[in-house]
Amino acid sequence: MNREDLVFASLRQLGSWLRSRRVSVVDLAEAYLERLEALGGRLGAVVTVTRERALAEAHRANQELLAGHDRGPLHGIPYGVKDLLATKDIPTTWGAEPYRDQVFDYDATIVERLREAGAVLVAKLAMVELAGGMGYNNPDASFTGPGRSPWNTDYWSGGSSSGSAAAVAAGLVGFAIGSETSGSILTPAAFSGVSGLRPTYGLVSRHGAMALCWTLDKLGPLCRSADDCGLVLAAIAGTDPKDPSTEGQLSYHVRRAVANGTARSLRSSLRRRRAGDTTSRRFRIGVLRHATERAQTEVQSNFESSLEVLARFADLEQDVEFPDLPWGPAVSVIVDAEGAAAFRDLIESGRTRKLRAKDDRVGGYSMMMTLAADYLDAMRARVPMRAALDELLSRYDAVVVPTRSSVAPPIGYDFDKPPAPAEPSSAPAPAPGRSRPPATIPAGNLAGAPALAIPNGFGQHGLPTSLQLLGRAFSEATLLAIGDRFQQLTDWHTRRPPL
Amino acid sequence: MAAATRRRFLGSLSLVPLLPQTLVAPPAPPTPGPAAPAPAPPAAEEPGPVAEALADAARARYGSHYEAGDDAEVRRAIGRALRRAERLRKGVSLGNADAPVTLFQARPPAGGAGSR
Repeated sequence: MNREDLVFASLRQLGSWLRSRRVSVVDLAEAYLERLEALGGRLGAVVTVTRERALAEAHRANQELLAGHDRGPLHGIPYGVKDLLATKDIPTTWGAEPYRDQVFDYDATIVERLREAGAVLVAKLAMVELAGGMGYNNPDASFTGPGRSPWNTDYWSGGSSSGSAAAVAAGLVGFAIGSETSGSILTPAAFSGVSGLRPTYGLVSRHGAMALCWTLDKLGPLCRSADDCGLVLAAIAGTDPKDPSTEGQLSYHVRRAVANGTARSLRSSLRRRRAGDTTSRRFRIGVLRHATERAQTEVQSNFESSLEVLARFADLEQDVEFPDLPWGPAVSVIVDAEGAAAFRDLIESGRTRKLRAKDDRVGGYSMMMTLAADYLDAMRARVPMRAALDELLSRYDAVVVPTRSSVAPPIGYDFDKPPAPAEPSSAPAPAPGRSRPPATIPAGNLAGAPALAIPNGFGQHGLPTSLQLLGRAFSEATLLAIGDRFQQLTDWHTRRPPL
Repeated sequence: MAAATRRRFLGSLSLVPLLPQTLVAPPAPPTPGPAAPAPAPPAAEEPGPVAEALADAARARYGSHYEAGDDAEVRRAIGRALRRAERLRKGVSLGNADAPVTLFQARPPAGGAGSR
């Protein structure tokens, strides 16, 4: 195999090569380390290459495999984490200048779990400063500079898990961990052309992760395929007494699925379907009304093509109404209030002045003025809003929309400016009063529901487009099964960027 | 862990419903008119009197950290935040018994929960 085939291989393929000794864990780690060092800076994707720790973990993992001690599908796989996860004795910068020298003396639970699974930490990956909590308005919002798409480095890789997505897309890591409060896994997955899973709130421990918003923050995998996401999720999911959000809300079914390994149950389900097991029902998928409203032409056509693929193994119901509720405002009020409290010391000290993005430097002051009653009303509204979304999602295995209505914006673009002048292939400007697409990202985050973003084609400037599957709480195995089936029938997830 | 999808970026990329309030939710039921004429509603980007008052409080607290232009930006940001909160209130009907979601439990959890 050549070097490119190695670094872009699926996790199962890598595992097979490691176990058949076609490649050693150390050689595999070296291959990724070299790419991180060669390409990570150009993409604005890397904060710290953890070479020393990586090689120590790789040697240990290699010796274990040689001795017949197999820790499972992630054994020997190099990975990176968004730089908001604590790693012992390695800087954890939160992407922000004021925390550039911060070092913790422990590993985050998710890092511990991946180490127990035999994975090898090769990098701390770049991110939007403070995960975007201060309200950034431009891709250039990290002390490492803007995250750049491997597909076209003049364009953004998405945020706030910018480096996690770009590193996976560019073959700098086997997989990566990102975080999402409202869109920070799905958006970079879409803009960078990778598969990203936002797990159900409370399924993955956040102990050791930077807190922006305690009631919205989630950690999840960014990978080259849905199948890879399932393998990673199986290793990181589960209760943790150090994170109260993981306690007491997992149903028996979920506990069993996690205990058995989400990937294992996913594999057996897929095996049955591939074997033509007619007892396996077809998936039922809702296509949201106005899903492609205001979307770029290529996003629309790629979405339509994706529906044709989905229809080969699922029953589609068209024009499904999405609850018309103030999802975005609710998320904003909650993030403002919790984010202000989480970063009160930083805001009141004036050290926000050291942040990169202009909006981040003053955003905290207005967040501090969020009224307590407004926050509590948002937390009260969450209950009926969650019920409304769950009622919709209970009727389907998933609902689908384009993950984003456009491809990535260019570096230097201010998000509150009008879109760039229309190009021949872009959608016409919306007429006043025209419908807007369903707000699935804030809705799913407000309700704590899982979602999977998978690449489904390319649009303007050679940039990827993406399909989002949104499901009921704790329906990860189903979303991943649908994503995996889609990827069995398409090859968008196997494309490699022109680096 | 908020994304670019937050706030204006959400709006700018058309993922958050930024429809006029009347298209997001049914109009509020009519209420008795105030004794004095209400001030005209502020234009879309004008902070409004409540936002101005809160911005004065912000300046009293943090003004020593401000640079040129910050005060005006804080005023605009508070105005936007108040409008979002208003849209939320009008979009979801809440009664006295509707409790907020919380994680609080009276019995301290075993095993070090809450430590980071």
